[in-house]
Amino acid sequence: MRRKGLIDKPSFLNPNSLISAGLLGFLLIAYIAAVYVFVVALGTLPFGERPDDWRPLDQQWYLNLFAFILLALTIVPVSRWLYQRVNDLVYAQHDNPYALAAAINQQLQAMSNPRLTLPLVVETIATTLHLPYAGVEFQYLDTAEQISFGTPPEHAQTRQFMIAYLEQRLGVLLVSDRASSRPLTESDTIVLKDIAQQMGTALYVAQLTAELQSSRERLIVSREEERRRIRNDLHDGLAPSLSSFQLQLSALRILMEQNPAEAHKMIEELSGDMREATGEIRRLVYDLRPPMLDDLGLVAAIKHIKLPPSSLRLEVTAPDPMPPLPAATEVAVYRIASEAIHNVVKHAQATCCTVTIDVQEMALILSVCDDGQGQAADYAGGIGVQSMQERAAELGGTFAIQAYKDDGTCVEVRLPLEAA
Amino acid sequence: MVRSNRTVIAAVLVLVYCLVNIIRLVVAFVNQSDWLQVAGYGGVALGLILFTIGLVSAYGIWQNQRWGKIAAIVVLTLNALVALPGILFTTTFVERLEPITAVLVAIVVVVLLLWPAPQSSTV
Repeated sequence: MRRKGLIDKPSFLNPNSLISAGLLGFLLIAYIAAVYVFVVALGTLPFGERPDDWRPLDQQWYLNLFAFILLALTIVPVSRWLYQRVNDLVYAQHDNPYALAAAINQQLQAMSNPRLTLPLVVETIATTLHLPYAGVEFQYLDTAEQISFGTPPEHAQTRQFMIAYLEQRLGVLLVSDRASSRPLTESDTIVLKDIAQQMGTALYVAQLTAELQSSRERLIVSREEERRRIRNDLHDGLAPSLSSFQLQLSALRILMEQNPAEAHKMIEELSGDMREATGEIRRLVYDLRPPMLDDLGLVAAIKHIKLPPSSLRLEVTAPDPMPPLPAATEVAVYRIASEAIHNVVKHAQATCCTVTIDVQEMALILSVCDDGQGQAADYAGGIGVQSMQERAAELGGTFAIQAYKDDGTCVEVRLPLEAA
Repeated sequence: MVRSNRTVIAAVLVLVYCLVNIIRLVVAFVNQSDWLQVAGYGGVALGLILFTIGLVSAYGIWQNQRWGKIAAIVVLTLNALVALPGILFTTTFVERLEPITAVLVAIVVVVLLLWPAPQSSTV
């Protein structure tokens, strides 16, 4: 998104350029005159009275020479200093960055969607600091966005200020020099760094809010899907079975009086059907919370995960005794470990898989490492990886896949304990 | 609004210097002093205009306004340029103090107003 800047006109028509050049020339003339007068005055009339026939240009030649040398030596650094400082005064926010900071802060605080707010922020930066071009490149909801205001002058350098929060790079603020011969001043740089910092915080909060909203929506959708699945399972599986039992029992009552042998046969069939129904109920219950967690505990449940036949050796390391964990954390650890181990069996061609559970004061760290063939550099992860990520994120945790030793892969999950 | 010490000192210095000079010009005009013969009514009027702008610019500096700072630099530098010959052409050292003060005040105010902001970020 590009918007037209306000300063798209030749620099000699710009009032600020005229003020800057006029002020600089005026100060340089004053400096030259003052140096000459002071040298001559100090050399000839320090404290005494002036003779009637005294004229400045008739004084000792060495005073004029000294004044000339002094000016020759100092005029370059002084004019350079004055040039920078006058530019700073005329163009930048010099001593009053608060007005700009307050305006930007106000806009950023109201930021719910960076796509709508950042164009205004960029415009404020460009117009307040009299910059011909300002822009922002940032990531928002996994999409790269670019917003700009104005056009960089020809041959002018465009400078970058990193937008970050807690060392996490979120984007970059782009600002061009006012002209190729007029780079950004020191105070410009200070103010722009601060603005980039403010933008980092605001952008992070906006991203977090958007992710939270998206996560809530996913949570609601998954809860509704879960309910629908349970309803379907009950309606399509268990309800017809129970209805069938009722009909069979009615038939059985009649049959027991008329044909006891047939009735016995029917009881056998009924018993088999009831076993199936019980198995169905167990499956439903298992999907809600693996019963092994309650029967065996987390560590033993992981050790007893049913794996397809393979030569994989599974090693589980955990604190003994295992401290009590919140139910949600236990289920998440079990499900993530189960998914990660199945991934190892299916894809890693590993001989050994090590599951480590480390319970710290504030967090539980689960790592599932293998000595297999590792993952491709461009591997983005499938549904299983996404599911593990979501389970960790639901509890406010983090999920990472990294290389392990030389060849293997390590899945590391950190779940906060106080949040759970 | 937060003002730096430099801004406060510059504003007060410009205010005091311009006020003192306006009073001096008015007193000289009322008393019809000898000095008035040298400067002339035009000189007095120009001086009054210059130092009145200086007073307004002191308010601008106090309000942290860019126009105030630029106006103060222009007024005091112009005043210093006008006063410079006085350093060479006044006869006694006491008379010479007035133009010297004008130049020193101009230097101090220009440096205070142009000196870069502190490095530490305060936004």
